[in-house]
Amino acid sequence: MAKKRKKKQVPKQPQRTAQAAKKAEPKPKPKAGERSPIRRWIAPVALALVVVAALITAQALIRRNAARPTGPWTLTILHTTDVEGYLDPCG
Amino acid sequence: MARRATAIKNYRAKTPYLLVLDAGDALFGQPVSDISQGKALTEAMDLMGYNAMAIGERDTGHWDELLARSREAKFAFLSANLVYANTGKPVFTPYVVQNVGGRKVAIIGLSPADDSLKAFAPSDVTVKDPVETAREYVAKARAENVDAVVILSHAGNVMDRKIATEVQGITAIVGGHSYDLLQETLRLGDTVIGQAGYGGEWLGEITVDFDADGKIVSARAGVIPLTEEYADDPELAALAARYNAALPPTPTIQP
Repeated sequence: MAKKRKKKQVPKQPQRTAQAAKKAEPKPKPKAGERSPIRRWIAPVALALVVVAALITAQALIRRNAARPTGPWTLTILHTTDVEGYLDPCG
Repeated sequence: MARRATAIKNYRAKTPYLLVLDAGDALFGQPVSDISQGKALTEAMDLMGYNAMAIGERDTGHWDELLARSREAKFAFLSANLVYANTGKPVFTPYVVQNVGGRKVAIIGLSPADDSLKAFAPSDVTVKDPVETAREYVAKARAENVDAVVILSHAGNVMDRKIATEVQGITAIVGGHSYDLLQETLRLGDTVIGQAGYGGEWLGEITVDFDADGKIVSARAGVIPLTEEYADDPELAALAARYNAALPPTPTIQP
C-alpha cells in the first residue's frame, strides 16, 4: 500500500497581510486617452469654481465703480474743536 | 451752536462732498453739558449731522458717560492711539471709511500724547505715539482704496505739523487741543492743516480739489466767524433752550 502522502501544509497568510498585499498591488493604469476618475471629476468642478469666483469678483468691481462718481471733485470739511460743552456762545 | 447749524445747512445745500468733524474736547466742561452727562452736545451734533469726533483729554475725564454717549451717537467717536494698557487694543474705533457723496473718505482719530490725558483718563488706558499710529492707520486706510484720508487730531498743532511732515498719504489734518485759530492755509507737502480755535465760536473750513485721476490740485483752509449773518437754526435753538431750562437756578448772593 502506498503510503498516504502527507499533504504539505501551506501556512495560512494572516488576513491583514493579505489585505495589505492587495492594497500594495499596483492599480490598473488608465489606458491611453482615458482619465482617472479623480481627474474626470475634480478638474471640471475646480474650473467651474474658478469661473464663479471670477464672475463674483467682476460683478463686485463693476458695482463698486458704478457707485463711485468719476471726474474732478472738491472735498469740503467743516470742523470745530475744543467746544468744551458750550451750547450757547455765538457759535 | 444754533448759528453753526445754519452755516452747516447752507454748505449741505451746496455740495454732496461734505464732512462735518469735531477734533475733540467737545462734550463736557460747562454745567449744561456736565449735568446732561454729555447728552446735550451729542444730541446737538447729531442734529447737525456730524460725521465723527476725536477723543480729547477732557472727554476722557467723564469716562463712563463718554463710553455711553459713544454707543448712542450717530457719529463716530474716534481714537486710534488711545489703547488699553494691558492689551494695546484701541478703546474706541480707530478709523472709519465713510461714503461722502459716493467718494470713500477715511477718517482716523488721534488723542493727545502729552501729559494732559494722563490727568483725566482712567489708569488702565494709555496713549500710543501719534506719528507711528498715523503711519499705521494711513497705510490701512489707503489699502481700502479710499479717495481721501483725513486725520482728526486732538494732538495739538505742533504734533499735527510733525505728522504731516513725516507721514505720506494724508489729505488733511483737522486739528485741536492747542487752541490755534488757523485763519490762513497751512499746507505741508500734500497735507493741508486746519484748526478752529475753541469754544465753538468759529467754524473751520478746509477745501481740497482733486482732478479726475484723484490727485490733489489745490487745497485751502480757514475759519468762518459765526456772526449775526447766520440766523439761529430753530431746531438747535429749541434744543439749547430745553437743556438750559433743566439747569438748577443760579444762587443769588444777598447783600
